[in-house]
Amino acid sequence: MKNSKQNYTNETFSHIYIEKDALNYSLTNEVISKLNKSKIIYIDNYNEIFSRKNQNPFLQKLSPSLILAVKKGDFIYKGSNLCHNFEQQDFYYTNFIVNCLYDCDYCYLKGMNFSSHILFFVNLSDYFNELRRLIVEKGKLYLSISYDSDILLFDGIYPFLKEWIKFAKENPLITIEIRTKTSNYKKFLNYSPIDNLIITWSISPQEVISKYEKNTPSLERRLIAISQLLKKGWKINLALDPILYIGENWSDKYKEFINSITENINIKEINAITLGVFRIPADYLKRFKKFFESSISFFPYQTINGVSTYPEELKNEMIKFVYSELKNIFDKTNIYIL
Amino acid sequence: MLYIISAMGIETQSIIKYLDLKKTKDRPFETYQNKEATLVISGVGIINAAGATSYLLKDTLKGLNHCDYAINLGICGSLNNKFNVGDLVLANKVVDYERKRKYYSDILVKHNLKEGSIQSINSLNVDYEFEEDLVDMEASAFFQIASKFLNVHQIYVLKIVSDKVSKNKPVERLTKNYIDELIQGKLEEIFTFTKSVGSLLKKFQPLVQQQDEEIIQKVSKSLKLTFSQINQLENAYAYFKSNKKVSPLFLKEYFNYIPKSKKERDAIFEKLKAELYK
Repeated sequence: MKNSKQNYTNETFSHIYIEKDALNYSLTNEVISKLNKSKIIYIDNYNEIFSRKNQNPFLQKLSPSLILAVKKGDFIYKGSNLCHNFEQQDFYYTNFIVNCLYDCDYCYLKGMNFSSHILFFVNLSDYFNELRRLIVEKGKLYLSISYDSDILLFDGIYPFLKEWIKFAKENPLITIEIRTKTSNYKKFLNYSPIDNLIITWSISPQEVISKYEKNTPSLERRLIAISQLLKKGWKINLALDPILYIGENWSDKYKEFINSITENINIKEINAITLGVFRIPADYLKRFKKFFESSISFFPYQTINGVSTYPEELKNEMIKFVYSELKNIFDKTNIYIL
Repeated sequence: MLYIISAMGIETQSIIKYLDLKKTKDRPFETYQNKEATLVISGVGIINAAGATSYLLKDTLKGLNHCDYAINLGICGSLNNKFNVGDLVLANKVVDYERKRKYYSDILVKHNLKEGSIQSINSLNVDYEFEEDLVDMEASAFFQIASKFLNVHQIYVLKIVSDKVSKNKPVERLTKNYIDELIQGKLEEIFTFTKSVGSLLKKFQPLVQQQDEEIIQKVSKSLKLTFSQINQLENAYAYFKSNKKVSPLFLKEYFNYIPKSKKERDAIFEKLKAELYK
């Protein structure tokens, strides 16, 4: 089955579901005015749409709707032990956008969420208030703001970037990380680089991108974006994560991939590199198998303590190989492995 | 399979003719059928609608139901000026007025229909608040019960506005001819929409189909696989199919193979698994 858009599927965001409470926020009006062809449906709570159990996230990927809601309860979460913490004690993440228009076969969001519709929380100011409180409490914070979405895809309709850059400038004790696969680097050219905002580019061999990262920019385009922002002085990390087993000649492909990185960017200017093989909570993998059809879902992984990943021997071999290739060209103290 | 549920016989008269459906049952609900569609007449009101929906969809949970979809089709009143008499409206929000429960179809398919919200009420009077665009007496019960069988992209409410409801006006009596004409005028639009839904569902079917399940079952039975081995086989089968984009038909070799011992079975199983993961 090919997951291609057909004439009979609706456009992305053909429908916008809006919580009645979200109508009180100017951001809601801004989003609606930019998507003025969409049909609007009023809801009481985003979970009426987002958390329904009888929906098919695979089909929703063909025609995702948008949900505008007001986040209540927790705004900031402790970072998962499945993520890199850069040896930072106070490592947190937040999610004001949930789900993504990219369609990566290995993405944990597909196992975590019941829906593939995109969820925007419009009360950004509440996030900032909570963060200010947390900075006072903890002193220093490392905060990822794009684990639950590739947020840069949405800046055109949800202009959050200027807000976060402003917040980072005003609060030097927080380091903000934005993780992305985008090739659209130009939005950053509107701002001066700041030391406490890191852009982490998730990159993979082109074969992985073509096969498992549908709708995402090519490796070449991502590397162009990285090199442009490096030249402008932005702090950039590379995430070679997840490293995937792509057949018996996987190591040749990854060697080739690392060569293409060094050919296209000045790797010495990179701030840090993170490495990790595909890993996922076993419960999420179950949902992959129920709805999604990539071979990634059905590999014979090993499950230990509720986390499924490659068998130990294969995992070690993959990490060791990629690490040894990287340490020849990059300061190994800035390579983080999970 | 398209499942249609309508409250009154007069709402279905032209549909039965258009789809060339044949009557199959009188009780408990009047039912009409052909190879691609089943229609049931529920009677008016939420209890009838719930009962008929359950009756109509009772078999879908047993088999693979990804190609099935259900539609509540009929007339409704309009509560505001967004819609006029004669409009065909696809409900994007269905509200159970008394119980304050809400249901939403996942409208993934492209269409040219008008969309609006509908509230379902228990009894015919105008004492209720006009909270949504339309009003009827079945949609919410249909949706609630259909949701137990199908996913939300497989459940739709299509209504034709038959009259304008007003707080100061008694409920209108509609003639049979009038209702039939309203439905007749919208048949093309209704079934263009259902065709699109059917095409979408047919195009995007799950990886493992009924014939695949049969292969897995036959191999498991003949090799006398354990529960855990069957799970592993299902996974390996799906891996092969997702990778190679075809079914592993070589497994048919094992349909009649009876291992002499558990040891032999385990050895064959490991070999077979290795083939699937190659």
